[in-house]
Amino acid sequence: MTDIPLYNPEADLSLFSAPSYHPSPVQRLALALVAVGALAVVVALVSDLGAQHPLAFGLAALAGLGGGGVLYALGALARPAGVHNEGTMRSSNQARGAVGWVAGLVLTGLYVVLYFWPGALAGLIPLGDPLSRLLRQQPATLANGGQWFLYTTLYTLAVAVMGVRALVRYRHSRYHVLRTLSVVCFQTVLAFALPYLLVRLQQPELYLHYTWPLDFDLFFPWKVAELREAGQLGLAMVVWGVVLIAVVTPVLTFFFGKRWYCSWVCGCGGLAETAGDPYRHLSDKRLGAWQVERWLVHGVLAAIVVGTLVLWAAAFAEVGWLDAVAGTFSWLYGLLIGSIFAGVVGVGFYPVFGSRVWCRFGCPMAAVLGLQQRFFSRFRITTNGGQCISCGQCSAYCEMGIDVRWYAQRGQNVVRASCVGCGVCATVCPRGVLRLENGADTGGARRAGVPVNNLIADLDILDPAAL
Amino acid sequence: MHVVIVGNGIAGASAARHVRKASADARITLVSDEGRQPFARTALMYVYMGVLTRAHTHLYADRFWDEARVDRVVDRAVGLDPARRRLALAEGGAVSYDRLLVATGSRPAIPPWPGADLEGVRGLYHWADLDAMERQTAGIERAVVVGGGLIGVEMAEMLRARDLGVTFLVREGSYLPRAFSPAESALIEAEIRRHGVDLRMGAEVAEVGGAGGRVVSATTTDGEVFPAQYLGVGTGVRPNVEWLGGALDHDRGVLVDETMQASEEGVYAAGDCAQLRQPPAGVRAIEPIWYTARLQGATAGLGLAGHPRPYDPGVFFNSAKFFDLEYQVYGAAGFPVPEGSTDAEWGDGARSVRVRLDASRRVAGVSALGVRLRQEACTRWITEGWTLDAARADLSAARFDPEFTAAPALATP
Repeated sequence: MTDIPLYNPEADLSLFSAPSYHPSPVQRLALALVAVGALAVVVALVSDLGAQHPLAFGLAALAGLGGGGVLYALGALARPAGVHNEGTMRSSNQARGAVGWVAGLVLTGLYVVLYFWPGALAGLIPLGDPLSRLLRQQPATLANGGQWFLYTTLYTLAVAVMGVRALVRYRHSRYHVLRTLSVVCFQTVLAFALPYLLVRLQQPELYLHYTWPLDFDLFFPWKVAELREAGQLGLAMVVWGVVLIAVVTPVLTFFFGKRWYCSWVCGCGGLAETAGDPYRHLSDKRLGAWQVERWLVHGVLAAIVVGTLVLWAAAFAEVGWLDAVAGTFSWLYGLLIGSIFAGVVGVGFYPVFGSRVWCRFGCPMAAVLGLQQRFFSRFRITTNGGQCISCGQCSAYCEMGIDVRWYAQRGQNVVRASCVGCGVCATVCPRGVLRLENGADTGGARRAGVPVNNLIADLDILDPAAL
Repeated sequence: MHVVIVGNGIAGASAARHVRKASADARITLVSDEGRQPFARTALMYVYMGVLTRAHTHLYADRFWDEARVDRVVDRAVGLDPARRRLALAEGGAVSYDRLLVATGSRPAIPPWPGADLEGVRGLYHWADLDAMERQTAGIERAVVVGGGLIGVEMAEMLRARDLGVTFLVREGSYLPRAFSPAESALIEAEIRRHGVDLRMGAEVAEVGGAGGRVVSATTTDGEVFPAQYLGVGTGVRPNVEWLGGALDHDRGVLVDETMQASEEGVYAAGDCAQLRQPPAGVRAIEPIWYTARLQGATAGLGLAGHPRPYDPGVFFNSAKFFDLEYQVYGAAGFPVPEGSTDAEWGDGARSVRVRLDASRRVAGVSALGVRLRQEACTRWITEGWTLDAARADLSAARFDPEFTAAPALATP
């Protein structure tokens, strides 16, 4: 990533010039609502009005951002169902124009503040207070980490609202509808409702669909001790975490590929597939990016594996210098990977580098799943004979930066560690050349990348004896 | 050995790749006046629609051509002297070659309507056509598209993507009647109308009206006048071979033998501009189809590298997309139905599959709308001469639709 070339140098990305952007009257109203919600947030952020009227400001933000967002998404029902990427490459928001850059900077700024200067959010935190009392029977204040309640609420709201957008947008495809419903449900239930319900019941705040190495401190000695102290539920969580990574993950990945997790269950994936969907094409497709990806993602995995082992060694050895190493590791990993990579870079840069920066370059869980998918899985994307017309849409809209077309042009099946199986390549292909498959490795559905007929005549030529 | 390839469309680009695969030391020069980057002509529409950038349409990354050692020259070929083995370029003088490929494709054939030369009357084939369309449709409100083929419907989709009012005039009474059954044509027509296109079947253009040198309307033979600030023409293409003069034997296209070699030793032609002297059974002499150009280019590339082989396209296939309705065809499924052949057709109102049976009741062709089928399966049905019952039993295995797609409720024929 040495330079950031203009995404579409031919296009005029000035604000209101996109020739394919024609919001309906309903969508214009919805945009006005979103603006009201955003205004409520900004006013609360810079004044103490939000703290004085938490319910009014909270509802205004919710109705504006949530209701307006949903209304805008529903407005797209007026268009016929089908693939609609018109205007993407000429949109100031989506093609890294001024709107995209501003959105990226604002998001990044919010994450920086959230992680490192939560005090600056003092005006906003009370907006979550009424909901917090309702859900957890606890106030939301800076003192009790209320910024995280607010953040999780906004995150879930983003997944739900943009999930509606995805449902409308991909309503012609059952695969996308089911996948979107799945991530929205996992986020709202397992990542939001259940943990806070547990808090209300005075139990530990547990996230059943996360485990080590993504939930990186779950197996740290201090965390295990804490969960054991919390009682049977805590202990069960430790056991479940082990089962999830050691049994569930390899088995499901063998049969379905890493997509069962990355684009059906995971919250990071859920945000990427919903809120990140408009930016999916911004992923870097260059060969160099693939090289960086392999070093980085496996490097993070190696770091968390070694680090966790060191922590346990330190816990048993009780040697001063080892304790220091372990403590430093724990702190550094949390800062660099947990906060900066997963949050600030991973989500903040959506409008600049696409929706899966964290998943592709940083997530150690994705690295584990990727190794399993690459070497021990039935999952592959098959190519339908010689039908690729080289248009490039599969590669353009791959959020993981895979040059899908390279395989399709050669009639080869795609077997790549990073593929999260979102299925968008197969959806946008105007000739239906790609298909996600898990079946046994036979007939027209082989896993190995073998061209299926002589219409891509390269194979004959590569054999000198055939000449 | 110097191999010169004129035209960097899919035929020329495929030929260049295959020359390099078969010959490590040939010097390869790829000449085009359309730009340095061989691109997917099939993706032109998506650039206009803002679905892709121009860079996305490049067939291969720059480094591919560097590693394959293909010299790319941007220039226009203006003449050929086969006796002296020299190609004349508009800017760069003459180039000597040992072997040459003519892959100059075709150009839109605009019918000789009165007013056909007005600004805003344009086909769609080259980047220049796209640039003109971009310019000429900026700020306009209504357009007319003429010609019920694959380009016509693409232009209608492009213009609709910008919310322009589109009238689509098709001369025939049903959509592509030589390819589709009446039921299939009806599906396509409904799909086009579903996207807000004013589709007029059986409407033939008589003249194009203009004002100040620009198109303002199209008038049909029935006397109906349709306002249009842009008139897209998709009535067909003709081989782009005028530049050759009489240098090579030609009819409508450059005449080639079974190895794609033209009338001069070492000179080949492939793609839209080539005309087979003796087409194999079931193959058209001129077949302006992207897939055909790719395969002819590959065949010619082997000949250019000194390993000629006969053009053997295998079982015919083609594909298209009518707005959101995907289309695949394998083998011979066109109209009129040959003597003794019959069709078995299923449809559920949104999708359809049609199987052509030959006189001995064996599968000869398959046509699918809205249903994705495996090329390998359909090809096998045809080459192995499956019966209709066998093919139907194999249909669910042959489907290439995305997971969870409802199986088409295909009524028994």
